[in-house]
Amino acid sequence: MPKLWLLPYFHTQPLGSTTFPSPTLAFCHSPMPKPWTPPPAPRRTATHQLPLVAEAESADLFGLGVLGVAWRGAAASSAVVEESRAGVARLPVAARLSHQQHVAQVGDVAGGQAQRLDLGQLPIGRLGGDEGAQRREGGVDAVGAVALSRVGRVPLPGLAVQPPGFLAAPPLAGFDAEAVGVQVEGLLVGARALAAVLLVLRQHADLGVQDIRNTVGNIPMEWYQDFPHIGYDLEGKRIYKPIRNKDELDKFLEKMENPDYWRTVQDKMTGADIKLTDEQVDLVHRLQKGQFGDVHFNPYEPAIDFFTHEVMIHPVTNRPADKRSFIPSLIEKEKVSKLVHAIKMGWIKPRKPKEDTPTYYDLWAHEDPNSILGRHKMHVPAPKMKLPGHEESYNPPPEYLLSEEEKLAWEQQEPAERRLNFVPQQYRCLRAVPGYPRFIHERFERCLDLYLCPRQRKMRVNVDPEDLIPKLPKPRDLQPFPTTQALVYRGHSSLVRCLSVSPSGQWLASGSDDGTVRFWEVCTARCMKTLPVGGVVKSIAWNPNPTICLVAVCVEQSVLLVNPCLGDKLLYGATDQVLESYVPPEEERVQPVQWVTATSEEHSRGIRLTVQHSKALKQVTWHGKGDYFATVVADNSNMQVLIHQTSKRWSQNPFRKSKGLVQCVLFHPIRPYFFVATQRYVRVYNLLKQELTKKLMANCKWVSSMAIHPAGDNVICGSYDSKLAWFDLDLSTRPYQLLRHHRKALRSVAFHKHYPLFASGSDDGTVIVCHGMVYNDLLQNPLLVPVKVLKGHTLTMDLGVLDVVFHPTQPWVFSSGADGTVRLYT
Amino acid sequence: MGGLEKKKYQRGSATNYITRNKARKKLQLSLPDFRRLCILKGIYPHEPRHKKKVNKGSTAARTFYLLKDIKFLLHEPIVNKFREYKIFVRKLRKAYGKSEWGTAERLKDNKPTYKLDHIVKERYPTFVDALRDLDDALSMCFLFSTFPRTGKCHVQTIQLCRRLAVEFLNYVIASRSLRKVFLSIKGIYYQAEVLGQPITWITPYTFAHDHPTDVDYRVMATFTEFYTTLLGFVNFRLYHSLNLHYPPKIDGQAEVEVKPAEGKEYAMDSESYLEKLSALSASLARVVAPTQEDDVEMDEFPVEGETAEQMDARRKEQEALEKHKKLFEGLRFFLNREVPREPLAFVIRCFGGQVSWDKSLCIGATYDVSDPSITHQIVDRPRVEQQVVGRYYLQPQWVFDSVNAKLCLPVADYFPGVLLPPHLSPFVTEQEGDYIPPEKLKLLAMQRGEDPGEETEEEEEEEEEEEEDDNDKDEEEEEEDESEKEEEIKLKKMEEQKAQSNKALPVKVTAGKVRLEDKQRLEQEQQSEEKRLAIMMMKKREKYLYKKIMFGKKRKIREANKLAAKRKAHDTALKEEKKKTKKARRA
Repeated sequence: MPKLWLLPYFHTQPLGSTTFPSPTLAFCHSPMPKPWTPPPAPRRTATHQLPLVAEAESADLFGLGVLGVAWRGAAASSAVVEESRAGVARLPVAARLSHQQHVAQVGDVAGGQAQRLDLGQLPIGRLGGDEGAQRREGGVDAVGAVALSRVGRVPLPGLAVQPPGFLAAPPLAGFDAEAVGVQVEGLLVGARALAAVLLVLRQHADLGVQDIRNTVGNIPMEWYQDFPHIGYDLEGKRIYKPIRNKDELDKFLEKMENPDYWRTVQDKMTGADIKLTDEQVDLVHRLQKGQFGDVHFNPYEPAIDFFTHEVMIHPVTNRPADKRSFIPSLIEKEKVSKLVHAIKMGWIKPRKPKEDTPTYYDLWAHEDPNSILGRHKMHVPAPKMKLPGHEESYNPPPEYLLSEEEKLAWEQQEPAERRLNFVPQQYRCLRAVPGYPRFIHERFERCLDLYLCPRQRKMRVNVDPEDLIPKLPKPRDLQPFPTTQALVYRGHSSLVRCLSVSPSGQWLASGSDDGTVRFWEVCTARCMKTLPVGGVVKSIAWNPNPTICLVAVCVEQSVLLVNPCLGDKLLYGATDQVLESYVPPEEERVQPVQWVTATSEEHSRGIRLTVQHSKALKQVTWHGKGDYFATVVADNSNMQVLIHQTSKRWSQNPFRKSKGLVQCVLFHPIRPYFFVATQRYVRVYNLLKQELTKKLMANCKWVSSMAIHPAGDNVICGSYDSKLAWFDLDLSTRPYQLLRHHRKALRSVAFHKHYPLFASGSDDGTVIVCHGMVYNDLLQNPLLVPVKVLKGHTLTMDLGVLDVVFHPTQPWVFSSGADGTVRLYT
Repeated sequence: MGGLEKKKYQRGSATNYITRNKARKKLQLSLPDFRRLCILKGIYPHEPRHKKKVNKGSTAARTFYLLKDIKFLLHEPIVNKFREYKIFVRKLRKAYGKSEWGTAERLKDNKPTYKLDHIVKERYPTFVDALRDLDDALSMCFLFSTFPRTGKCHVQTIQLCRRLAVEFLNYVIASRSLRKVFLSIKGIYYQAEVLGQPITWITPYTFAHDHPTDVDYRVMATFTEFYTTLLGFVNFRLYHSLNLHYPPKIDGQAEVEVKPAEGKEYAMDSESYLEKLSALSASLARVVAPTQEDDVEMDEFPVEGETAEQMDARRKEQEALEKHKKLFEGLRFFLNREVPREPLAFVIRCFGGQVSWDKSLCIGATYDVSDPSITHQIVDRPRVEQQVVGRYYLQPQWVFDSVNAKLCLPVADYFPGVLLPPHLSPFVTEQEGDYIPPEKLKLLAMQRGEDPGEETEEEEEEEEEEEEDDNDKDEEEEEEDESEKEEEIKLKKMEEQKAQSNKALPVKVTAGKVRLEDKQRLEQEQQSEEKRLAIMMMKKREKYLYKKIMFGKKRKIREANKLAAKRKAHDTALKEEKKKTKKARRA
C-alpha cells in the first residue's frame, strides 16, 4: 500500500496522521507499474531532495487520479473545487501538493474567472521554460496536453454533475493500463498565474526497458559536474552521464549539419539530448509570447455574473425576519431620551451658523479723547512709501533713461546701494507695458519694514548753510594789510630758508641752501651783496638795535656775525668800532663755544666774528637790545640752548637739564623772559629769577615756529600738523584759538611790529595774513580775522613757503620759498 | 564703603528694553505667533541709544522691544486665542491621526476665531489716524485681489480684498476725490484726497504674477488680515459720510436695467452683484434720495491774521479744485477692448465723464460703439480702421495726462499711432535748483493760461526751414559770386591807392582800448574771498555740517546738470535726424 512507502520520505515533515486520503476524493488508483521495492540501504541523506523525490513519486502515483480530479473539477461547480480543497488538507503532503496543482488548474479552467490560485503553494518553475518540455528517446505523446485541452472544451457553467461512471472512465482509454507508466514530467506556471501541466507519458513498448528516472530532485545539476554519474535511479543505482566526446568541431559540424539542432535541448537530469516535437516548440513559442499553453483556450469568455446588480424580487433565503427587527430598540430609546434631556437642559446647543462675511459698523462713532493713550503719543507712524518720480513713468522723458554705461554700473552695484531699485524703461504705448516682476517683492519688503524695522524720530538739520558762516568784520575795514605781490627777489639757486629785515626796513638778508647769504635792497629788489658762507644757512637774524649794523648767520656749526656794510657809512663803521673795542678779560673763562675773530680775508667779506659750536646749529635770535643772542643746537643734550653776549664775547648754557627737543627760542621783546619751544610745549623762563614761569600746552604734535606779539602778552605757535595756536598768556596756558587755515605743515609765523597783523607760511605755498587785534582792555579777547591768502610761491620738492617776515614799518610781508625766490607782498 | 552694592544692568536703559526671545517667552508664544501679534498690534522693535548697555555688555546683534510694549501685549485678548488655536490644531491632528472623522468635523466646526475690531480702534483712536495709515492697506488689498484663487492664500481673503477694493473705488468715484494718477512701470499709482488726507496707493497691472519663492506669504497674509478689517471699517464710515448704503447698492434704475434676463447667466447673484459693482459704471444708491443739490455754499470765515491776498488765493484754489473735479463732465468715452478697462473707467468716472465699453468685454456697458454721442474713444492700437466722424480717437495716456494737468490737453499729441509725449509724474514738485524737464515747463505755462509750446515748436521748424533755404540759396549764389569777386578786387586796388595817399602823414594815433574793469565781477570775487576766509574761521563741527550740506547741494546741481546735458544731446540728435529725413524726402 502506498502509505507504507510514503512514510519514510516524510521524516522531515511531521505528518499529523497516517490515515489515508478522505473518501470524498475518488482517486482511481492505478496499479503500480512495478512492485514496491524498498529503497536502497545507503540512502542519500541530503534532506532537501527527499520531499522532491516524494513528490515526483506521488505525482507518478496519483497521476491518473489527478487527471480524474481535473475531469471532475471541470464538470463540477467551483463549490466542488472548494470541497476538494478541503479534502486535500487531509491528504499526505505529497499527494496534496500534486493535488493542489491540479485543483488550481481545475479552478482555472472551470471558472475562467476563478483565479484564486495560491501561487505560494505551488512549486513554480520546477521544470520551467523549455526544460519543462522534455523529451525522452523514443516516442513521446503529450497526452496530458491532449487531456487538458479536452477539459478546456467542456462547457462550464450550469452543468449537471457528471455521472460517476464518467469519472471512472479513464481519459487514456486507449492505453493498456499496465503498459502505461504515468510520469508527471513537470508543471509549468506562467506569469499570469496560469498553470499548464505537461504530462509526458512515456510509453515503454517492452517491459525490458528500465526506468532511468533520476531521483536527485530539484537541485542545481552542476553539483554532479565532476562526477561520472548524474544522479540515482529508483533503485539507487547511479545513472551515468551519456558519453559525450564531442569536441568543438563536432559540435560545430552538428550545428551546421543537423537541421534539428535548434530544437535539441539537453535534459539536465539525464544528460540526454531531446529533440522537441512541433507541438512542444509551439507550446514554447506560445508561452514565450505570454499566451495560454492551450491553443484552444479562450481567455475572453463572456463573464457571467452570479450576483448581479439588479434587485431580485425574491429573497435569496427563505428565512423569516427576526423579532427584533420590528421591535423598537430599547438601547436606542435610552440614547435618544438622554439627548432630548440634554437639549432640554441646554447642555447641547445647536451649532451656530457660520459667519463668513465680517460685519462692519461705525467703529469711530464715539471718538473718545480718553482713548488716545500715552502710547499713541509715543508711537512713531511708519514713514510713507516714497512717491515715484519721472523716471518711474512708463514713458519717461528721454533724459531719465539710463545710458549703456549707467545701466552697466547699475547692474554691478549691490542691490542695497542702488539709488533706483529699477531700471527706467520706455514703452511706446500703454499696451506694451508688462507686469512688474518685483511687485510682490516690494510689497513684501514694505511689510518687513513695517514690522521689523526699529523706528526713530530723526531730527533733520534744517539750516541755511549761510547762517553757519560766522559774521566777521569785513577785511576791507581792517586795512592796511598786504594784498598783492609787489616784488620778487630772484638770485638764489636753491631754497631760501631764512629771511631777515634790517631794523630800518631798507635792507633784506636772505640765507639759502646754495651756501650764500644775499643782501637785497627792499624797494628795488636789487641784490646788493652776496656773501658765500660755504654751507647751508639755517637761520639769519638782523640785529634789532638800529645803531648797530650786524647780522647773525647760522652756518653749520658756527654763527657768523657779519657786518654787511650797507647803508649809512657812519653806522656800519661804528659797528666795527664797537666790535674791535673788545678787550679780552684777564683770565680765560671756560666757555661752551669758541669766539674767533675773523681773518683779514673774511673781514674783507664782512665777517667779523665766528662763534664756533660743537654741533650743528638750528636757529639764532637776538635779544631786543641787540647785545645778547641765543642759539639752538640740534642736539638732545642739555647744551641745546646757548646764550651769547656779543660785547663780552661770552657764552653760557642756561639749562642744566634737557626738557626735550628744542625747536626754537625767543626773547621777550620787553621783559626779561625767555621762550623755549619744544615739540609740544612752550616754556617761558624768567631770566632774572632763573625759573620757569609758564608752560604753554600747544595742543599740537610738533611745534615748528613761534612768534611773540610786540606787546609781549600773546604768542603764536605754528606746527607741522598745520595748526596755528594763539596763546593769550594772561588767559591760560592753553591756546586761546587754534586756527586750521593751512592745508599743510606750517613752516614759520610772524607778527608785525606795529600793525595788528600776523602771518603764517606753509608747505601748501600760501601765506595767510590775519588780523590779530589785541586790546588793551584785559576783558576783551583778541580778535582774530583772516584777511588775505597770498599765493605766489610754487611748490618744489613738496615745500612751499619756508620763512615769513614782516617789514618793520610798512604793512608789507616778505616770504621766502623753496622755489629760490623771495617775494614781497604789499 | 557702606550701602548696597549696585549691580550692573539692573537700572537705567537696560531695564527698559527686552530682547525678542525674552519677550516671546514672556508671552508664551511661538515665534510665528509672536510675529503675528506684533503685526496685528503694530508693535515694532526699538533701537536703544546705547546698545551695549542694553545688551548687558555684549555687542551681539539683537532685536530689542520696549518692555512697555511687551507688557501691553500681555493684556491682549487675542493672545489667548492664539493659544486656543494651537490647541485646536493639536486636537485636529490627533483626530486625523486616529481617523476619527466625526471628531475632526466637530473640531473644525468649533475652530477658534478672533476679531480685530478692537485692535483697529485701539491703534487708530480717531478716524483721521486710520485714514493716514490707509496707503499700505489699500496697496495690499489691491495686490491680493489680483491673486489667483488657488494656493498662496485663502479664497475668502482674496474675495474680501476684491470686495473692499471695489467698494473703496466706488467711494472715490462717488466723492470725486481722486487727484492724481500715474502710470509707472511698476503699476498705476493713484492719489485721492479723503477728508484732507492724501491717500496714495498702487495697483499692479493686470497680469498673472509669477509668485516668488523668497517671499513669506504668511507675513503678507497677516498684514492683509488686519488691513481688510481696517479697510472695511473705513469704507463703512466713508460710505456713511456720503449718505450711501453700505454694503453698497447700485442705484435703482441701473439695477433694473441689468438684472432681469441676464441674471440667470451669472452663477450667483452675489457674485454678479460684485461684478456689476466692480464694473464701476453705475452710481451708488443713497440712503436719502438726493432731493436737491447737496452743494451747500460754505460760509467763509476769515482766519485771524490772514490777509486778503491769502484769502483770495484760497478761494482761487477752491475754484480750481471744483473745476478739476468736473474735468470730464459732459464727455462720453468709449473704451476699446485693448485698453485696461478698470483704471480708465475709474479715472473717467472720478472726473464726471461717462464711460462705456463693448458689451462682450464686461458687464455694465451702458452704450454701444455706434452711439453718436460719444466724444472720445480710447484706443491703444497703431491705427483705427473705421473711424466715426465726430469723436476723437485717443491713446489712454491722454486721460491720465489731462487729469494730472487739471485741464483737457490738446488732443493732437495723443492720436493713435503718434509718438506720445513723455508721461510725467504728478508727484514731483520741483524746488529751486532742481531739474525740470521741458515738458513740465510747457505744462506749467499751459496751466498759467499761456500757450507757448506749439508756437516755439513751429518757430523752430520755420527757422530750420529758413536755414535750409539759406543753404540752398548759398549754393545758388556761388555761381554769382565769381563775377562779384572780380569787382571786389578792383575796389580793393582803389582803396589801397587811397590809403597810400593817406600814409603821407608821419604820426598815427591809434585809439586806445578801454579796458573795462568789470566792477561786478570784482565785487563778486571779493565777496567770495571774504566768504572763503570766513569759512576758514568756522568751528570744526559747524564746518563739518556746512561741508555736508554743500556736498548734497552740489550733488543735486550736478545731477540736474547731467540730466539737462542728456536732454540737450538727445534733442540735437533728434533734430539732426529730422533734418536728414527731410532732406532725404526732398531728394
